[in-house]
Amino acid sequence: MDWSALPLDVFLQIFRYHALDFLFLLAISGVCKTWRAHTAWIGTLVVRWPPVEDRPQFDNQGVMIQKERRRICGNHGVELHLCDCVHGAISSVIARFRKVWYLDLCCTEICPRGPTAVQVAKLRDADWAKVVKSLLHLELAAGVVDSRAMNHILQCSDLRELRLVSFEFADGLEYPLLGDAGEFSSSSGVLENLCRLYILTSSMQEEALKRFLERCPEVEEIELNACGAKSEREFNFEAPTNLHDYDLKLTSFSRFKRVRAAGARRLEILGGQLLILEEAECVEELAVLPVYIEFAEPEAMKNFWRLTLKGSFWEVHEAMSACQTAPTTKRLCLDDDFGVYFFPYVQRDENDDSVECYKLFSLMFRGGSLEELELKYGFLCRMWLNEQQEELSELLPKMPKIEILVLDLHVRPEKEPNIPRFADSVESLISSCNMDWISLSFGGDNNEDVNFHRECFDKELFSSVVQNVVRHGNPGPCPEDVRLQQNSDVKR
Amino acid sequence: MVKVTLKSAEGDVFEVDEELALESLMVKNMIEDVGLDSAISLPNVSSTILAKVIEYIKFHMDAQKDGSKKTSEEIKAFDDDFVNVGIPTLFEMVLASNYLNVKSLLSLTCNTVANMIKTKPPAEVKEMFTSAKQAKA
Repeated sequence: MDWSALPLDVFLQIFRYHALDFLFLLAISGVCKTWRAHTAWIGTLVVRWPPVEDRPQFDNQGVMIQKERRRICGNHGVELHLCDCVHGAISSVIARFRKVWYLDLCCTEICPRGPTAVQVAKLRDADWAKVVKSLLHLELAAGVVDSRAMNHILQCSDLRELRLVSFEFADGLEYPLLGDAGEFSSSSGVLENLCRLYILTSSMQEEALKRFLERCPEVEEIELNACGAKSEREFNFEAPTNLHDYDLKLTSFSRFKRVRAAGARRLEILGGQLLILEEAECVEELAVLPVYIEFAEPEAMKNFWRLTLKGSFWEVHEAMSACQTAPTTKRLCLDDDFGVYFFPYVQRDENDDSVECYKLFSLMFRGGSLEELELKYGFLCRMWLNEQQEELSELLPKMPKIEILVLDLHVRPEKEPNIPRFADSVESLISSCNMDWISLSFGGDNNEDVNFHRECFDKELFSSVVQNVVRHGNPGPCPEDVRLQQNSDVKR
Repeated sequence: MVKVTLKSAEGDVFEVDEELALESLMVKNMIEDVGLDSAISLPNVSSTILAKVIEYIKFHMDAQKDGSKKTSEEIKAFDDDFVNVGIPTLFEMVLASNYLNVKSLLSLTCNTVANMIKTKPPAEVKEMFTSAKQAKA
């Protein structure tokens, strides 16, 4: 068996697409001269530190069975990830590559001593010079991204995805993510091809971030996670005005948040108590965790149509602020864990996570533009309608006229729901809200949905379709009067 | 049914249906060049491995035929069992599927090698490949 006989294309088929770790790459480089030469074509460098076998190990009960192992350089007596030996080896591999597509310096373990990762700052100018013209994906999760590194990053003209991750030390010391990176030089480039940007930081520098985003004019997805930032201070996010049609996911537990989302199409904003949304005229969809929302100019949000309420701990004034202050909301989506706790109680009792929908809707809705209701699987499983409720007749007139009910079964938990009860609830909901269409969305191969017109709704058939979807991931055979249609075909 | 004769490295002869033989793009090209009158010589493929390749192609051809009752689970079980061999055999199957240009088999065997090594520590992988090479020397 002569492994050196492995042709280059087969070698690459085995090794290129599995994002080989740096140490692994060094290992296969050492097998023979042919393999060493073959690795020049891999172009993917992933340095995960600490290596898997050095990380703390735990048994099934969560008891530590192996402490974190520190590797010390035999020549210099310092920890390996800080030693020039490792950085030299990284540089030599980068130099050997013909092109570098994918560079990932990530930290696999956050320990109290700080990030034990290979330091970005030690990448040499020659390394950057090699990667900037070809790099498509870059992840840096190791300490300060200073202005030198940032200027190099901004030269990566083909970069599609950038992930910057920083950590806060347990003793309160911080590594500011962008360091002095706000001070871009006049020759800094523009990331014209960047589609996805992910930043996790303990210390958000809002101005530096805005200046950086100005240099990402084609970005389509921004994910900003500032969970480590000081929670008491106000958090401001301001998108530069040259960004258009992008999705923004913002996670921060700062109590107050002010988001100026010029050009954003979809927003997902998680954490906090008060959210003030400004410059949101392009926003079409918004998803939030429990929060009191103020839209600065609700009348300007002419394209807004979908509001998703996520998370467990909602209070009625928060839910009403969300539902009523965006006047053009067409579809309300209640996420899996919505309403596990809702004050005032809509559960049977304090220990029950079911949601009594008549009461919930009567509290949340006061008319408005709502036409569609989208219920996620987790919510569906907890939904019940107490038809014996004495005040039901008083509640029903307050219910909005909802034309379409979308039942989302994309994510199916292991536990099968009580399908007959589920079908009862849906039937009651249809008659209460006088809905025209019920659309069962389950993520089929062609993104097809099962759509029932109210006149065709049959509880037994519906139960059978749901059962097939839950058990087998497809609706099974449907009679002719229940059509499999694309979403767009449903009357909207 | 037209038959094609394949001759392994050891000179063993395998007579297979033309439809099966054409699943190998390399054999297909050879047939187009030299016709069906003489045996197709495959000097890079041993008899053992050629028999395995034929078994693989035959199973998948049958599974794709109309009326086949083989489920995707049965096909996956066959594939799992098929590549459950020692590293030397697997290596030869990689080379053979590349040489014969049977894309689905090449993909299956390459993925198997990749999955096999990615669960091992780097040092062990290096040792695995290096020792195999030294043993041959």
